[in-house]
Amino acid sequence: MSITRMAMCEILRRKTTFFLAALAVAVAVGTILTAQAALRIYGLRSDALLTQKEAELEQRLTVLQDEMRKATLKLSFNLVILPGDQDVRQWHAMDCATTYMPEEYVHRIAESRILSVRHFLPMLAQKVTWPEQKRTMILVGCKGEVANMHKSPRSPLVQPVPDGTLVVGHELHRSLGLTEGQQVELMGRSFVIHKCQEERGTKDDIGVWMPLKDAQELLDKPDQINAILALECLCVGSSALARVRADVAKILPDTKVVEFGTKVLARAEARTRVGEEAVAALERDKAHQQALRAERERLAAMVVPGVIVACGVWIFLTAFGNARGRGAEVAILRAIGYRAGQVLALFLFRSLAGGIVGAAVGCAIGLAIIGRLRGELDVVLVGAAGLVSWHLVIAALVIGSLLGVVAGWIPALLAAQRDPAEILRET
Amino acid sequence: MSMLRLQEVAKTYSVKQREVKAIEGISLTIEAGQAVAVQGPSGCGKSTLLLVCGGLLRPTRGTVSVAGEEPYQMSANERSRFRAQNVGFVFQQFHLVPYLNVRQNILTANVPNRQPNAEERADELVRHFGLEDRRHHVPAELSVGQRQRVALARALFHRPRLVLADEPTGNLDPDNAVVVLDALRQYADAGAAVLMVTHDPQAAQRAHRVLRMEGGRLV
Repeated sequence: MSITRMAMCEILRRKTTFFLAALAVAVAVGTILTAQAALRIYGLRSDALLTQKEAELEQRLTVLQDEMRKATLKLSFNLVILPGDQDVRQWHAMDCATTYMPEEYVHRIAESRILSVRHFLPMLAQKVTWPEQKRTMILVGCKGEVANMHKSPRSPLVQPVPDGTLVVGHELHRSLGLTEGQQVELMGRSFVIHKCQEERGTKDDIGVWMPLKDAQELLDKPDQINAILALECLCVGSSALARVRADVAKILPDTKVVEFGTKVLARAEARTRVGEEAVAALERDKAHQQALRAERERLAAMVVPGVIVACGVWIFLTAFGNARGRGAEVAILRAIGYRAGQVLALFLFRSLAGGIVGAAVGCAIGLAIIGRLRGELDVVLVGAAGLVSWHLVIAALVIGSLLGVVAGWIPALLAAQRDPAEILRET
Repeated sequence: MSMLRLQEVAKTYSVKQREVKAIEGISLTIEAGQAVAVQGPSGCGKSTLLLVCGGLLRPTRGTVSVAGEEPYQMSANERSRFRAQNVGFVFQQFHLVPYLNVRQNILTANVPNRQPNAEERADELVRHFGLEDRRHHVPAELSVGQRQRVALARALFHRPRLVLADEPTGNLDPDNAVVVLDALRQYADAGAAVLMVTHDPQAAQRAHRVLRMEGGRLV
């Protein structure tokens, strides 16, 4: 016979009180684990939600940027670089420049490391009469984009007109009955209509586009252009134009830069603001989620200790009842020579066993609940940590076992310190 | 050799700020091999005398010596150990441990005072008191006579020099009472000292000496 054996016999004989104490520990341990897991699940769901929102926002911003790019393209050019001696009033009156500059300029600026402009389109435009059709038109020779060598390559903004073909403005092809694929004569040369433009409501409706080389030949301006379109200027803000002008002036001193993009800039700024607002909304969401998380953590920080204390009181009461009901037993054990420490050990072993069994059961139940929650969780868990760490499980086991001992300590101490003579006299 | 010696022992209780003299001026010597019965009316201090003799209740005055040693000069733990080695108790209410079976109850005496061959000693006592067929039964499954025999076996487990019995036959029928009293007498005859407080005339008949107690004094 030993103290441990006696305690085990007592536990087996009085299963109900032992079960109640173990249940209290199980509740406490289960609460610790599930509360932690619930907080983690909430955190994961919040993170997933925010990640999803971020992805959606990014997608939306991409769409906005794309729209911006298209809008820039449709509305007009951001900037146009004209020969230095070009009278801007005349340029406006004639719808195109009347002076010329070398085509080499566009290569010079493209190969410079200018940061503020993304696309360059050289063009040679002149208002002429289409002799075969007897119609006034703006003949535009274009080469498509000359890549800015410093930027990462991108798809060209305007597709070049294929060799031997024309792109015809809406008013011209409508009034002349021209159709795509039709062969036409222009200034004594034969071209195939590559595309008939839709109505734009601008001078473009009387435009005819052809490869730059062809236009230079037809207009007898070899290696000459009269405008470089500088598109998608990257800098935004009140000083944007000044910066681009300064950049261009450094590279092509005998040119002038005219802005086309006030409306575009306003729209771009509006869209930037929309983007900024979306980012700010996301930040607000993040802050809100963090505040909610902190609130839940505060709540858990109150609830979990509360449950532990309640369970401790519960264990104390069952242990106290157990000790009270065993007064005569304690008295006779003391009478036959048991020391107070041995009686204390007899009671504490019971509490410890209740704590260990309860903690193990609580862990098992808690992990089962967590497993179920994990199964229902629509978030992929990364790593082996899962919803709760093994450190927490071990800590919960230790806390549960200690809870049993601590809560049962005072009743055990009271039992061990009772005067056996007093009990024996009373009985 | 005197196994129990009391000199001018007194015990006073404080009850609601009033002092109650339970025993007063008790001097008593019990030699080895003696069984002494103390008789007297209820409330005369018999149980208090027994507890004082057993080292469980410190007297207000006087000295107590058991087997030549004074337990009240010892620390609490030393006194516990001393009781475990030298004193056996038998009570009217048996005070068996309810969740242990017969054999385990007897073996509880081995916990504070480990001795070799404890299992054999327990089995010997089980046989001696005719409890073989009840050895795995818990107290609730035993008759009162069997319970008292288990209590007696536990008291004698470590062969104490002094056995203190408080109304050991108080709850027993005459046949069982005879078994218990005979066992106590035999144990005294074997060289120990037995002090029992009792109302039972049979007990008095089996004692070597009968003392009468009234008003906390031996008369």
